[in-house]
Amino acid sequence: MTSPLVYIVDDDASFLTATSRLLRVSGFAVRTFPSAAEFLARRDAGAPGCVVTDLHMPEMDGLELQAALAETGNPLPILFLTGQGDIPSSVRAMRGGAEDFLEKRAPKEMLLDAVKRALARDASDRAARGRQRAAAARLESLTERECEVLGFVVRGLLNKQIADKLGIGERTVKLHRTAITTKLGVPSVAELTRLAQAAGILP
Amino acid sequence: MLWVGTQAGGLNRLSRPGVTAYPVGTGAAQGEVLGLAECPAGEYWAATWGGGLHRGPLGDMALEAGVPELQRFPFLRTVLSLDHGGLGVSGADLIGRRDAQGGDFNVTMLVDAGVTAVCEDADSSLLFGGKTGVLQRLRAGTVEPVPSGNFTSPFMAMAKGKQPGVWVATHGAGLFHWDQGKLERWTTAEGLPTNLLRALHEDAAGTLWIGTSGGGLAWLKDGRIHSVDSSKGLVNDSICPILEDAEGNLWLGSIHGISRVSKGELFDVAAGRSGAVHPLALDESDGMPASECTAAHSPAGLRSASGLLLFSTTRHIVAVDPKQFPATAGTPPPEVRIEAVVADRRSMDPKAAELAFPPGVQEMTFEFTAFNYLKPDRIRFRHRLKEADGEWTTPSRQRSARFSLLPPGDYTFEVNAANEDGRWHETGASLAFTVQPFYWQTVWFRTLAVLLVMAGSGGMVWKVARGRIRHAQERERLARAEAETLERRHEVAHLTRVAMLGELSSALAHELNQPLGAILRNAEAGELFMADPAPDLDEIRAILVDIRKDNQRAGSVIDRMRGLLKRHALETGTLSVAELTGEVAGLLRADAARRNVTLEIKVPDDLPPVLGDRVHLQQVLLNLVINALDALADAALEIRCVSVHARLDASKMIEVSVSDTGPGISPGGLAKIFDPFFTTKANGMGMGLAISRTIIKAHGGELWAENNDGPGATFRFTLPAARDNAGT
Repeated sequence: MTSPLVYIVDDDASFLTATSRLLRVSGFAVRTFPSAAEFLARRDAGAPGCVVTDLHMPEMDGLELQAALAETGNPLPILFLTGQGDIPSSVRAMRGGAEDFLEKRAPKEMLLDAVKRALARDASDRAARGRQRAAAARLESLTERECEVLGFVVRGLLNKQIADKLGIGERTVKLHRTAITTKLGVPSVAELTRLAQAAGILP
Repeated sequence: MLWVGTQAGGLNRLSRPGVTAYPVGTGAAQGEVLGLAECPAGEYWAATWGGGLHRGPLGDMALEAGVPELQRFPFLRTVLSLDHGGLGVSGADLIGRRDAQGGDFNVTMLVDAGVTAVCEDADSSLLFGGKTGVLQRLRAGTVEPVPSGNFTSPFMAMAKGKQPGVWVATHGAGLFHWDQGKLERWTTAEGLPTNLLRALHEDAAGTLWIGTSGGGLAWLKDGRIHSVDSSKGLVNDSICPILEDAEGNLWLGSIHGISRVSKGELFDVAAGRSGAVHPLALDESDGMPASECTAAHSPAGLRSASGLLLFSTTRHIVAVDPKQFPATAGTPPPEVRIEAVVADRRSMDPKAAELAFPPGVQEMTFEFTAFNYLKPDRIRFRHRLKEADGEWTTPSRQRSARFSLLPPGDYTFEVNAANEDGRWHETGASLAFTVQPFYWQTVWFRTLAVLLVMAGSGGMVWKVARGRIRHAQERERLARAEAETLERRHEVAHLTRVAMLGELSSALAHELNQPLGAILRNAEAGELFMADPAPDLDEIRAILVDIRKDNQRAGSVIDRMRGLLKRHALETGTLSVAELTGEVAGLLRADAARRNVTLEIKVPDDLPPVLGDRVHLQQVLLNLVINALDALADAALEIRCVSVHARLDASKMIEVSVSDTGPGISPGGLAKIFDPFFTTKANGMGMGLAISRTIIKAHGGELWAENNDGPGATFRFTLPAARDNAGT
């Protein structure tokens, strides 16, 4: 497991350097980027960490960065820094899942606490995604048809209904069900449903 | 075999009032608890999926090992207490019964029946159904078909009522009443919220309560179906099982815990007399081992002889003692008190007559609590900042609220608390407070500026008028008056600059915050570097260099501000238009970015310089560009653009234009915009353009406005080119 990185994005070179110094000497691994576009292009796509970004930047601003990052498979928690209070932006940022919203001249304790919180949240988000992937991996041992059958089973369809939907015999459906429970080692429909939920098949 | 009936054996072990979880089975004998029965009083039975049949007093249940079929086929779903001490049990592969206490089980094996619901008929035979959707009868160890028994959808629950016959809830075909072949049916057409049903319970008044899968709780009363779901306050829309306590309240199981709801409230909501029910919700925090009730089959829960309500969950039986949850309808919701207010880690006195936060406060935290000695952890809070967005937050158990970076103004923080039954206190608590502005954000400062400007320009207008009337006779006095006017004009110009600076303050603050923030971070980092026993001196040196540079940067921002603020006599010189526009753009770029406006500057390289006063011309440009930015407040984001262009016109004058893409100027406005006190802005003084025109005229140029062919308006002014370069 790589250690988590704090990505700092700010168009103000001096502020960028100063912030990275403070975080480095406080024990965080840091990478800096002068713009949102550069961050999106050059970050370690899968690595754990969090983002500390200026809210107002030319070209792509912090909120746009937040939206772009949310669409990737690795949505890191974001900490916004701003020169001055800006309620509409902070509301939008918080609705978009911002970890925190700090003034640029906030005391160092607030910044360091916020970074720690963001990294902790990333770790727990990551663990949750890991569980989902593990569940999905278990489901990967199933054939396509078995997956289809599973989808119906967990939605509560009867063998007969599944057979109708797939245009196969009810007996075949039963065979598929046996195969599913054997492969997954799950005895009951309730457990299957839970597994499917964990894997994100069911909402 | 000897069964000893104990009186709800586990009760004295209750670790928490009201809710106790009893594990069922261990190791291989463990299975999901799906069915429950009590027979006789104090002796409980649990049918488990994969773990066989368990029995015993609560907290001390053991595997029933005396029936070999149940050992070999341990996938059981239901267990049912029968008349005369009998017991019925069924599962995936079998159905069985014992006719009296201590009697032997007679087990009938079935092929792929998947029995989910069992009921005892009037003649003591067992009616049962399962995933096949067909009702069958077990009489004397033999399975018989029944007339009109095909309900086409899987059985989820059966129940007996006062009338002869049985109720059947199906998963897909709705509700049936079957009485020896006489069949009645209710579906969504008759008012059910869904045909996917989960649980049934007929109460003493003959009302049939129906738990649905996704449609909330429905009931059949006097031939009509009513329903209430989570949009009306129900905790969950999938309900199983439904139990009733001695007070006539319903207790509903769901995968998100157990909730209690009063029938009266349900009736009120259905009749439109009330908007929502206020259920009491129990979950893990109340001692449930897991919040989900398994409860897919019938009967999955029961009210014990001693009045306990038993629910089956994955590995446990959860016993709820309804007496520990007295109805709170009569008791008032808890009173909230705001206990502490903290601003940037400093405590403030919430009882202060006027709570005021200093300018620039970053973070404020309100701590509050409510008093309820019985269940302090069940109180839920919600709060809002009335002036900021006015919406209540989602209720939670958190006892503090945090706000960051509130702009200056008066606010009211309101907080309210609800009982465990969701009843909110009538008033809650509130606290008015003020975030104090910096001096340039204050009303008095702005008013003063406006008043001074009005006094100054009023005087100016009057002097000019008087000068015009009397100019024939009183040339001398006119000359004096004009000198005075010029003096006043400088004063007014100065004051408008001060006012403009107020408008610019947020942009300037942003510009100052960059270097100041960097200095702060560098200094903090430097301190930490120094704390090292062998400090990295190179790094510290670099930090000091950066601090000095940022200090200069902050200084230059302040110099620019002071340049504008200084009262100043006309100093005419040659000025580069590119520099002039560049300085103005520098002051406004951050502001423009904040408003999502593209600021476009186009000045040809070979443009000759102009003759004029730097500060005054800056003021004109600032004024025009700020107006243009203001004009774009409501414009679509994609078209927000302010362009500043300069060119040499045909008469060798330099023309500077400021265009926006806003709504343009109304025809009536076009004639008046340069009049003093004419303004379209809520906070405008209507002096900016009047003064700008005076300044440009004093420079020998013209300032005028026109609407664009496309969207928006353009302001143009001309200035004479400086002579030394004009000829080239």
